[in-house]
Amino acid sequence: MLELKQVSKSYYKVDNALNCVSLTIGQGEIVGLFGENGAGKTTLIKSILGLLRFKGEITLDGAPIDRKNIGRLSFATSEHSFFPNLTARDHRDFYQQQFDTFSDKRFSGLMEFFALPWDKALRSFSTGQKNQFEVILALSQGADYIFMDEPFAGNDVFNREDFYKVLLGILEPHETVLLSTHLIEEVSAFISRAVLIRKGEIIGDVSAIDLEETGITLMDYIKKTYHYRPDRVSRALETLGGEEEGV
Amino acid sequence: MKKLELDRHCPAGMGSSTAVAYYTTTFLLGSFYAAVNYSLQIQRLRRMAWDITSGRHEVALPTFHATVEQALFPFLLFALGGLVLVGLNYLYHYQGSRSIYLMRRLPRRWELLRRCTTLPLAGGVLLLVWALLLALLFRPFYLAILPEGYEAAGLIAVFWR
Repeated sequence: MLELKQVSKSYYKVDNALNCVSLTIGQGEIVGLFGENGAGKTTLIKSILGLLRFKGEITLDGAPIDRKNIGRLSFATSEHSFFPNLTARDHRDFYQQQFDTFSDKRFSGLMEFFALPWDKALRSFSTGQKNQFEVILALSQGADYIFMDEPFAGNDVFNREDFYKVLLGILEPHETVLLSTHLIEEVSAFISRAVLIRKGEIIGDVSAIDLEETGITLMDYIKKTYHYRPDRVSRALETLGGEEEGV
Repeated sequence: MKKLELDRHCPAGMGSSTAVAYYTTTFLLGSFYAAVNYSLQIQRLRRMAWDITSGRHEVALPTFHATVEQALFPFLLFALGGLVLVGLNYLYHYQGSRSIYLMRRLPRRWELLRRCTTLPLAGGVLLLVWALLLALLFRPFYLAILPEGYEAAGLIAVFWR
């Protein structure tokens, strides 16, 4: 179980990028992390992975996250964390050296599924291929907790749909996914839980079962939690239209 | 040594070519400079030694240490220049992607540090060892022109006088 207790993070000139965030994620969950740009999604994930310093406590099965258990966490980011000059095959070798749990079978299977070239440097991949490869690495590392931060930015809808299907098909019961994305409707069908973050604070946390029981869609839940004003667009258009008429 | 083996001690995908080129160049440049500089100094010392033995002037010969220091000084600079390579190796993990995220979350704590520093450190040490060997090689030329009365003390003492 991954547990965050009172986690806070401030940047230079940005207070409370995370503000006393407490969150528990159990094994086997597929958690969607939603929030507007700058809400703190990436900061939260990077804090868990130890890429940022923070105040508070983050533990994995009761132990602080350090070199002994960091291999249980993997990370796919839209910024990409692979080596652009290496080939897919080189990456496989590197991961095998570094992570005892690396699954060659899953890596090869996903490479075949996405029809990615084995011996081309990653820098020559298309954006979509780079995203796919980033996710393949995260899924093949053999981690229990897989963090994905906007992994599909730049992928077309068919690519994304394929990926969702594969993800659901290959995940083992003990594998947990924390998926940060803006593609709420696309992922709503397969996440088991939604966590909403705004201005560094968790403002919503609901399971898919609870949503189903109450008959609210994920999108409606998010709009409600965010106090989304449906008339926002029409009012803006009215104001802008009025301005233009005035001119 | 195979290139591939060297590559294992560099940032993944960067290769050893930059470091190898740097140390090959500095090795050749430093050696050339040392040879020319020391030859010129030996010629000057020979003239001074002749002045002493002929009694024309009362001059003091520079010590071997002072003489060789000038010739080998670039090696120290080149070795310290390896620090720039360490910086370049680190910055490489921000080029084209953020592979730094991967390197910083590896179970092997020292992997990032190892890949950034191994070749620059090894190259720096090799340059300094080569400079020391050159000093040993240069020493007989100095001793050969020492006039009588300028008895060489023990090797180490002369080095550090």
